[in-house]
Amino acid sequence: MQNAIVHRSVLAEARITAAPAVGQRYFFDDIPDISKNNIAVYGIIGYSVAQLALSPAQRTVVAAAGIPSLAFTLVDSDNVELVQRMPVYDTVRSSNGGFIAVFDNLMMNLTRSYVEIMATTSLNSGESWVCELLYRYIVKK
Amino acid sequence: MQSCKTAKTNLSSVGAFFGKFNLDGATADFPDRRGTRSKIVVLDYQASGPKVYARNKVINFDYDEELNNANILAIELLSTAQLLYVPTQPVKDSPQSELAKGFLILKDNCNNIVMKTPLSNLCKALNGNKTTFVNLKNIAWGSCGPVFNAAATVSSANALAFRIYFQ
Repeated sequence: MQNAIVHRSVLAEARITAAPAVGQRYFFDDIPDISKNNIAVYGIIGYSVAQLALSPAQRTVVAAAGIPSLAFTLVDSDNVELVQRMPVYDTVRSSNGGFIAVFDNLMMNLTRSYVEIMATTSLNSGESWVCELLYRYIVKK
Repeated sequence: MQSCKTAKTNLSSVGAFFGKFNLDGATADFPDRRGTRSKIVVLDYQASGPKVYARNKVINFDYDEELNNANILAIELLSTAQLLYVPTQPVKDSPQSELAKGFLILKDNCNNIVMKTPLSNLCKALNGNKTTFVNLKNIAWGSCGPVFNAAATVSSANALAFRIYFQ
């Protein structure tokens, strides 16, 4: 059994800005330091309100019962879907025996990546899904 | 039905696949001996004084030369489920229910934030008894600390106790 090692991490969030409806997509908020296509993400830890009551931007985090209503898609700068519609539940560490979802160095574009509403159960407008991105800086040649 | 040989081959290729992440430094095996040393760091925030609790304020750790120069390899946050009282008794540890109210910020000695994680992510008892592995160097320990940002306040009768594994 293995688990991810945190070298660098940051909290990213995607906010549900309107009344939840199936199929709606909400993009991640910009984080200037990692938005220059300068990072490779190798792990993601998702959180519900049970693990974090408020996001760093002071928004209410999605309820634990709302986590299975969401899927996320990670997109690179060429709009290629690196991870398509992965259940958010699979990234919540406390729901997965303490394991962290590990990826093979995704060169993701944060603001083109999004969370999608698959069901409206236990979701409310104004809530955010918060996740911790484990990343490394990449050196461009 | 797979033969034993095929199953073994599949197992070894799976092992090789996951071994790649270990070689890359992205993952480590359980049980991995993280560091040669460990210690408990208690943050005893109070109603007044330098460690006063206030919403959205970083409560800094004490300066720690040893941790500044160390390679920090794992961080655990103890809860009352694991240890009822911290060494500065009678101040208690924080109960697990309080850990969702804040997050930990770790900075390097250039003042860059290198890790920002909810406190609940560091508590083994809340995460399938899995320790949170890190690999952090040049940490300015005295500039690091937790922030409580939830509207409900935390009790200054509690404290946070971190176990730090380092070498």
